[in-house]
Amino acid sequence: MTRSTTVLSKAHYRTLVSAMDRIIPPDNDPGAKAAGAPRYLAQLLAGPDFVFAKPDGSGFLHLTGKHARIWRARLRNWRSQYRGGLSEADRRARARSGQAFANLGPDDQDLILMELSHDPQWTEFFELLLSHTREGYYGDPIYGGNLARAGWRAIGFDGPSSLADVHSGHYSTQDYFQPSETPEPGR
Amino acid sequence: VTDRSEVCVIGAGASGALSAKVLTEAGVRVTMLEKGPWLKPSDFGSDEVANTRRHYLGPDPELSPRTIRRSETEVAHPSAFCMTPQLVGGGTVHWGGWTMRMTESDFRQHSLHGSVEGADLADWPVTYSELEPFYCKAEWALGVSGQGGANLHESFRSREYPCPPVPATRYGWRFRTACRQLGYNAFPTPMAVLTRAHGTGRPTVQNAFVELHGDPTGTRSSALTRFIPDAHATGKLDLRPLSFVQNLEVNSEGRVTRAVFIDERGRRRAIDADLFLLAAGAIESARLLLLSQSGRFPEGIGNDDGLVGRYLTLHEFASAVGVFDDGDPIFGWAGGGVAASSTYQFYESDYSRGFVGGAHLMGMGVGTHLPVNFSLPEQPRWGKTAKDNDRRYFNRSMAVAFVLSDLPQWSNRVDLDPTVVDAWGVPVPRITVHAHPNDLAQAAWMSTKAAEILTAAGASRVWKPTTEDLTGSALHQHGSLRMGAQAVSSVLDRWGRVHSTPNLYVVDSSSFPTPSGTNPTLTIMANAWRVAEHLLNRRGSSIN
Repeated sequence: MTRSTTVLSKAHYRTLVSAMDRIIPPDNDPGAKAAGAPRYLAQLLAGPDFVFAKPDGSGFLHLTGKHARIWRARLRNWRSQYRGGLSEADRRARARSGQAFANLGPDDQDLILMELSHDPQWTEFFELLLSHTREGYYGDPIYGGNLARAGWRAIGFDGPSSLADVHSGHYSTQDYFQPSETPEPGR
Repeated sequence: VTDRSEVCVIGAGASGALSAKVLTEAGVRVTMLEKGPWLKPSDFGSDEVANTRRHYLGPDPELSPRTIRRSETEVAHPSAFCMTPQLVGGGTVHWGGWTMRMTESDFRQHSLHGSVEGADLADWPVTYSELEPFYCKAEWALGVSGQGGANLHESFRSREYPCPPVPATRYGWRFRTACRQLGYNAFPTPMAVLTRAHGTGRPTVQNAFVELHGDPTGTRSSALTRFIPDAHATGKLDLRPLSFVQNLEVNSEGRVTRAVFIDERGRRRAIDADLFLLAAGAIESARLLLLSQSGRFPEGIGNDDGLVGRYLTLHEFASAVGVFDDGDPIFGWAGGGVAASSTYQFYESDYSRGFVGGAHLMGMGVGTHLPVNFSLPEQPRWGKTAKDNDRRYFNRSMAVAFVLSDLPQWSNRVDLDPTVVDAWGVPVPRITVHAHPNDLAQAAWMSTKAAEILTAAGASRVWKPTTEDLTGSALHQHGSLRMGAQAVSSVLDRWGRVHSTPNLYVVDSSSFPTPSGTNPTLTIMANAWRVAEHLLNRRGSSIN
């Protein structure tokens, strides 16, 4: 996605991808990177055009007035948090081993993320990173993450095929209720 | 610009929309002002990100903040405290739809328990018997599904539920089976969910996106989908969304003459009416009375004795969480995690437990049991362990939850923040709350009970919640404008009328002298219905 380069620098984006892939690491199921979480975030940060999907899945709501204003300000703050936090992660990586965060091994990356998560100055950044990684991994695919429902498959969530699937009343979880032949357990 | 109406209702949620329905169906002209938008079911969807992370149903705490502090001596800080949705339909748009009744004892807490140090229990000036017919009406207007008689601890009911219970989920089943094993009575949680055709409504599907989400299909009933269309069909309702009331004007006799509001284009407008019904919720209704200062009421309407905003009660939603390594999966997200089972076994007070009051316990999903929000207590929130937990337990976990019946305290209150204003420039509600020792004792006891049920259900590991204070987590609010038999100790009389202001009635849960141990919305509706019929009965001479 081209926006990633305009919203975050190439270096920041590279750090972001590595950090997200430690929040939800790859194994026999995709990690955050392969599920598209970084892409999801880059699209969100670019401006208030991807904040709310239309409930029928036909696109995104156009925000106006106070809501547009508040979301522009919120996204501006988030971009600034990410630039600061990702720079700090890289700074700590270089201080530790002379390399960019993205070039460190998983254990060193985890150590830096752990430090940031406990440092009051970086808590807000870390909480954003955590939230957005989960949203990009487990949120509805319309937001650009959870590619091919990778997150839902990993945990066994038989979610709707699309927002439209629910909107039209087709998506049902009835198959996951108690089988109806089970005898009633008295009172 | 000023318009006129017979009745002006402020707030279009559970109580406001219900009042508008009852009054317009009797031929009364009603103008209803709602701060939020008028969304339609087609505006709702299965979007966990929008609904649980981005305030889709509002309010956005950046636009409508509140402030919170624990005691009078602290400076309150901005917080998204108890942000019940502000839109046409109010909290019923995002609710799970649990529609239990209170019991006879809930209306007589002072008579039953006397004085409790540090708290002010009070009897309702209304009894269960008086409310019972209106419970039936509310259940039938919504199309509540349930099984009359299944809750052995329920007070009497004169009419069966209109719809049979929602089919059992696996978490509901586990809860009922465990309760049976322990000798506790359990019942299918009554829900405002259509399980068969009812009125103009048709049952659709049980999907996974329920609590905190609006329902696009119409199976789940709300004030928006049941009461507003009824009121609209009379041709007597003028519903004005995006109309934020900022002040009530009074004349020299202390009667309200006008509601002043800002419309969606930022213009200052007003409604004149004979009668005003306040239905903005316990926090916003108290705020509006405090904002309505005049020569006649320098401290705000109804506040000559400094009672407005006091005795705020909030419930506290807490849950024990269990994971299950053996047996069949549980699928805590089926039916949105709220197609639950319940027990009132521990609802009534038992002094041997060391506290007064009790709670409704229910077997349900873990929190908002959906992928983004799924988490287990005290477990790593990221990295390999977190991912492993998500995979192992998303389908193999459930909760036993309760709402705490917090005691009314003088110091737990809503007032106006002296410095913080909202996006309209209006002082925000400042919340001052701390838990009473009885609240904490009750929470600890209920937590143990909830954990016991999970263990009996076969959980391989159980986490008990620790409740340290009131956080507004239930999104319930009551009590800021108490009704009572004596004017000296209450803001409202038994009909919700402000003692000092004869044409102003409060119909929301602000009036509740005590909060009960169960979800309030059905009682809010029943009480609003009772008041609306009273107003109609008085109409012979004039409505006020």
